[in-house]
Amino acid sequence: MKIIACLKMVADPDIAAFDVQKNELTDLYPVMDPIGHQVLEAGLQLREASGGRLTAVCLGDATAEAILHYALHQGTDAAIRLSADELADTDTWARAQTIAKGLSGTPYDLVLTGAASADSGSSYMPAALAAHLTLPFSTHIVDIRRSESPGVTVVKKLPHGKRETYNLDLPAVIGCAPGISIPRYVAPFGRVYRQGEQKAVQTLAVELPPERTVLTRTVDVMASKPRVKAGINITALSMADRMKMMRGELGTKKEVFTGSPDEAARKIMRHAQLDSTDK
Amino acid sequence: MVMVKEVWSFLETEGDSLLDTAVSMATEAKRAARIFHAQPAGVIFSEIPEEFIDKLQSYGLEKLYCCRQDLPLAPEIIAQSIQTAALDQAPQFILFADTSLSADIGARVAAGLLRGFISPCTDFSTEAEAPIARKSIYGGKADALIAWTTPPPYLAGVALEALESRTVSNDVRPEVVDIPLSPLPPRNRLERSWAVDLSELDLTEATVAIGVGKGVHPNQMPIVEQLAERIKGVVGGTRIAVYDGLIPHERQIGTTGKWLDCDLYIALGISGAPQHVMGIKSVKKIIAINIAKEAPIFKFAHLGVVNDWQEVIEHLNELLKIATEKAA
Repeated sequence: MKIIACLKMVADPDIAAFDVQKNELTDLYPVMDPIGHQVLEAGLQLREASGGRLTAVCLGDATAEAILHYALHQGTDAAIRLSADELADTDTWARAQTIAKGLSGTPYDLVLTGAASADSGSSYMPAALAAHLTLPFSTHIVDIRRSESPGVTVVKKLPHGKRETYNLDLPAVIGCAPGISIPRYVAPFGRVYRQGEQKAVQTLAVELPPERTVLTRTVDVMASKPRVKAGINITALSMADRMKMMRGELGTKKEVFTGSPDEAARKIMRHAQLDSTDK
Repeated sequence: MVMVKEVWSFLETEGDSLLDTAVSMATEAKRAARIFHAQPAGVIFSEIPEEFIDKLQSYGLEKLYCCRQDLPLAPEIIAQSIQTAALDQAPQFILFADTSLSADIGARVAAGLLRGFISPCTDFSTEAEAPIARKSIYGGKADALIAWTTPPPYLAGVALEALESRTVSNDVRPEVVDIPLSPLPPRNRLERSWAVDLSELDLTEATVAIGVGKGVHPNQMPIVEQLAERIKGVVGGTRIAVYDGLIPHERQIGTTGKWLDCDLYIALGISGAPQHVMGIKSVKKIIAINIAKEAPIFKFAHLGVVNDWQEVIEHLNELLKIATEKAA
């Protein structure tokens, strides 16, 4: 199986901060998107299970090569950096179009991406990439297996421990969710690392089509402000009440019960509706 | 004829019930409709009994686009059906909750309609008469204001933390409009739906969780596990519980552990240190049992019980056993 792992370079989400005085994002240190580690490992495991070739791909400037060298050290067969002019001021759709064009010369059965990135987290890349490549896709996937029928079997993660199993025709795009794999440890200067060290990152200049479309535009970046929900008039609250609200002490009526253990157990049954519903 | 602009919200259902996010998305449609002077509508893929219509009316919806289906559908089919309906009805907005299913469908519809998909949004506004979405970036450290550069429909995913359920007085009975199911064969076939075994379930995915703290001795854990089995809960706990070997590190709740978003949390022998309490802020119902009446956890618990937790839980286990036998 020929697999492509699409990796993204983001500003380290743990370090990035917003300077309210300068009104701009600061401390932007480029790193691989955290989900990329799991995408890469999922690709490596699939290659080990069904054979084939794994290629890591990253769209970006020369700084993205550090990510691709890491991918080679982890055991990928090849690494391609897609370079394109005017990547700034583009959106997910335009970046997906660039990646799709960059992949046109590379054979693939499966294209893996993260379901949502740590910087924007829009969940749009798998769909946009699949649209440009005219492939089926599945996203929020936590398990991928080669199935007996043509294609792959994937497990989609839903809330509250629910899962759905799908059969997906190949070639396809898969958006990987956190939990799909646990990245392996590759010993520095070990066999796999040294093999990766001998490989070079290939750079591919992508000619952007003149009809490239940008569907959304960032107007401004500003300090985070959570939504003020209806029913909570913050301006009417005293500072003490605001602090209580932040600590979760405000709002719902609290009750402290001091009766016997038997009465307490009955009260919990009623309060949590454990007797009436099958939790 | 003047076309009334509509704001559509995709409403998730499970079996024969509306999910909490569906109700919140109905509220969101009403809210966005007020901002953009439009009519709030819902899009639903299930049978639609009268109680659904009553409930969604009380949350402000005035129209329901319904594809009557009682079988679970693949996201691809739902997205294609919404896409066809959107081309036909030309809504102003189509909103999706930022859940794995809705976000998947939203992204598919957006890609199919050649539109941008802005997610997870926390708010909407207008600037120079054009709609603007506010979304958090870098895990909530900053917000970006993003505009669509294409004509309507504008597609967006709404962050779950921004959602709320709010009933309104609505005399307008929602008009039900049937939409057809896409006849295209899916390339992504749903084989089965299943649930992860409770022993392997991550705390962040649990509906019911039980927390253990310093007041729980390792010998008492079987009672806790029995309760967890009966109420189908997942056992977690404080940092002290991890140090005492009661639970593994991945079951730690709090700032340095997991942040819960479950319906019910039962805290046993937990005093309520701020680091732990931060991790249970989003829980809908907290019940705390602690022998110390001055324990800070009682400030946050919806029901606090001042008693020996072991005695209370033993009684509770008995009551649950009787209730199960009665039900059987």
